[in-house]
Amino acid sequence: MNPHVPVPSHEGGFVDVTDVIALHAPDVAERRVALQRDMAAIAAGNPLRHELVRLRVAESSGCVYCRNVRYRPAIDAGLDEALVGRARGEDGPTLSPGDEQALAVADAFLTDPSRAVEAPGLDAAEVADVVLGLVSRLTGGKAVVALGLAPEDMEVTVI
Amino acid sequence: MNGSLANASGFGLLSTQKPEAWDSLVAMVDTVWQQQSEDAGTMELCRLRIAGLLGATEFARIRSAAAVGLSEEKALAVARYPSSDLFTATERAWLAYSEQLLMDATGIDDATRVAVLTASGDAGLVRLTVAVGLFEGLARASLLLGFRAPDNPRVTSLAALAN
Repeated sequence: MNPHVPVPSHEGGFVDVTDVIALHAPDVAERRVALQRDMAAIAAGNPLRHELVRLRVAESSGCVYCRNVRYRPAIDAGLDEALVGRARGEDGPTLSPGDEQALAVADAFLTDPSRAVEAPGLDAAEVADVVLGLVSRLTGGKAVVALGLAPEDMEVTVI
Repeated sequence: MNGSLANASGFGLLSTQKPEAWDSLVAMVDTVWQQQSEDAGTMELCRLRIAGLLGATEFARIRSAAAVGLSEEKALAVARYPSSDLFTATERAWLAYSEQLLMDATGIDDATRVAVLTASGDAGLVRLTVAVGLFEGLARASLLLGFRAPDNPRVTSLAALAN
């Protein structure tokens, strides 16, 4: 038996997980698209911070696609590969206190969410932004991997 | 925010600060969690297993109203699913897949995936995959934000957890 679900026809390249969900569970895909639209609107308010958090989640999920894709609005807001390294937990440029605390929230969420985390540099709306982004990104990244959609290797790609 | 995030108002923080995105998340979660189907009880078992593995005890206290046939005895025995006679082959397949997806999505082997496909088909595997990611994210968020289960733990929607 084929251990993977059928995917929509495509001409090479990456198969979008939402398209695969739509093929097999269109009601779920419809709601995922709505959530993605809302999350994109939230990320537009601070594209660099949300890209840093997204990349931190990508490290955790093991999604090669998620690790190697970069979103244009984040690059326009100053994202470079040194900052990508910071998102991955490496040494690198100093982040703003808010971005630093957003990554601390992401770390706690991904590693030990029961430990006390303080984020005095984020207001309540910013914390909500980060947490909603974490839930959404984690779900998407894990689905990409679990459904066998992640490439084994991929160059850094800006979309 | 001053103080620990665990002193936040649980999921209420998300619903009050970002109502549109929260409503979209609710709609997506309810589509896989609260749908009346023969799989509703199995889906609930997977949520409970994930909550248990993450130590999200408050998130594990609630029960889906859709899982009408799921006994409390079985819900509380979910950690023993590999050996307990209470669990069917389909439930074991879903739970094993859920555990592996939680711990390391890259480590899901073909046998684990095929077991779900054989029991529930392509749509079942896709729905379960999405659901497990959402359940994991919500369980982690519940801990981070200090979620407390409502007095009436049987809920018809994720929305009820933000009150």
